[in-house]
Amino acid sequence: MFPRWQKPSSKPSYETPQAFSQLYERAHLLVFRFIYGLHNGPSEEAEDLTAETFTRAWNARHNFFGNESAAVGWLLKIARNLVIDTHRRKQVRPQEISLPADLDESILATPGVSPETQALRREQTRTLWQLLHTLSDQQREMLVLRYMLGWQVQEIGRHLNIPENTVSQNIRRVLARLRERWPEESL
Amino acid sequence: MQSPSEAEIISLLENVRPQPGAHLRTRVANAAWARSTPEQRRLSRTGGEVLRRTAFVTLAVIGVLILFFAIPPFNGVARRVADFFYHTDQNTIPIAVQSPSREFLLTTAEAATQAGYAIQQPDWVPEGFLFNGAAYDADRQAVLLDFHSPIPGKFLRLSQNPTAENRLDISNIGPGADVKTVTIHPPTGETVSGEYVAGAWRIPSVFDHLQTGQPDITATMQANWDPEAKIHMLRWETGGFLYEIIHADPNLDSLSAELLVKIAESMK
Repeated sequence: MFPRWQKPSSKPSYETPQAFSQLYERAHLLVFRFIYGLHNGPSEEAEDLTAETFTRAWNARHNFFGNESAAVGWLLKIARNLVIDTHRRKQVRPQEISLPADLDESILATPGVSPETQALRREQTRTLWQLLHTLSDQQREMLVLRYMLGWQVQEIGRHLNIPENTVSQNIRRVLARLRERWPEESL
Repeated sequence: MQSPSEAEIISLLENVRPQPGAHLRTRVANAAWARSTPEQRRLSRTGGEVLRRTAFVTLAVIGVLILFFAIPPFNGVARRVADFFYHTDQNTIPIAVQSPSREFLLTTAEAATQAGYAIQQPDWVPEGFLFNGAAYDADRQAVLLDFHSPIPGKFLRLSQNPTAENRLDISNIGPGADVKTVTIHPPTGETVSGEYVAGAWRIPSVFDHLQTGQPDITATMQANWDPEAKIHMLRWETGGFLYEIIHADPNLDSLSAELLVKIAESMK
């Protein structure tokens, strides 16, 4: 099952540089994408925050107990707190959001789709990115976990420690809100 | 402009797949855990080396799949034991790995267009998987569907391809591998026989290359049949198509044919 926050029942698994390095290699893409989705800044900042997440985890490794699934949950909690702290420090308002310069390159290409449709999807993604940052941190986190990282609702509920139904309802509500807030003239 | 539907918004989100760049590699190269051992110091000297190592770890995982899907002609003795499987005479076989991974960039509709036939998709997959994308293998005329899990070593891949009169698409399995015949009841109401195998070919030399620091992804390697691998496979044929499901989950206590049959029976 994934993810889950385990009670201290087993020995720490990431005490050694080798073990921690393996964790980094397996989890850094996921952590980076999580931060990229939550953070409203350039992707270099998301990379800085990803590196900082692993540094903090390394410094706190003696206090971590659990398997790899639990370790991923632990990393994402560190990452979320880092992003929130960064936002508080910068006090970024929605209208000040700077889209990641490489957002267009991050969009999965869809072979066979006309250039016009591709351009429309890029424009829609930019609009969506702006709207994402009008949501609360937790609403945004749910969407990122569900759709950018591909977690199931049940897993998100366990990770955020809220009932599965609440996650489901919130995601539906947030999607509806995004539609409501969608600007009429976004092109 | 009209606002996109909720499904379109979801699709937009699912299509954002950012990749970290050189900046992260530079930051991490100086991290405490990365410079604490000679091996890590060597790996962190350049981002390229880190990338190559990552590619190799990926290869080690994907390699198991490559062997199932596209094992090159095997010159040793192989004995056909069932409709869909050959038993090799040895536990170790040579293989040539030419590509570290396959990219799943198509939607199912696009894959169907390329393939020229309708694709069967599962209504049910085990918890923790999300559809990642489709690919079309022109050589086999096969459509591959990939389901992603963030857990390392956990994957689910489905394949469908037309069965030619002279079928070439028979998988090699280890000499001791047990082929179990199972019954599948697709939504069409028919009853189909399928064949189930647990185990996988592993490529230990990938890790040997890592240890020596001389990775060569085009090298000829050896693969060993591992009956204990937490990977299992189901193949069956119906309506002129060969279907294949490969599922791996290192966290499972035991593998069961029922799980793969459940996926197969949800396909429509």
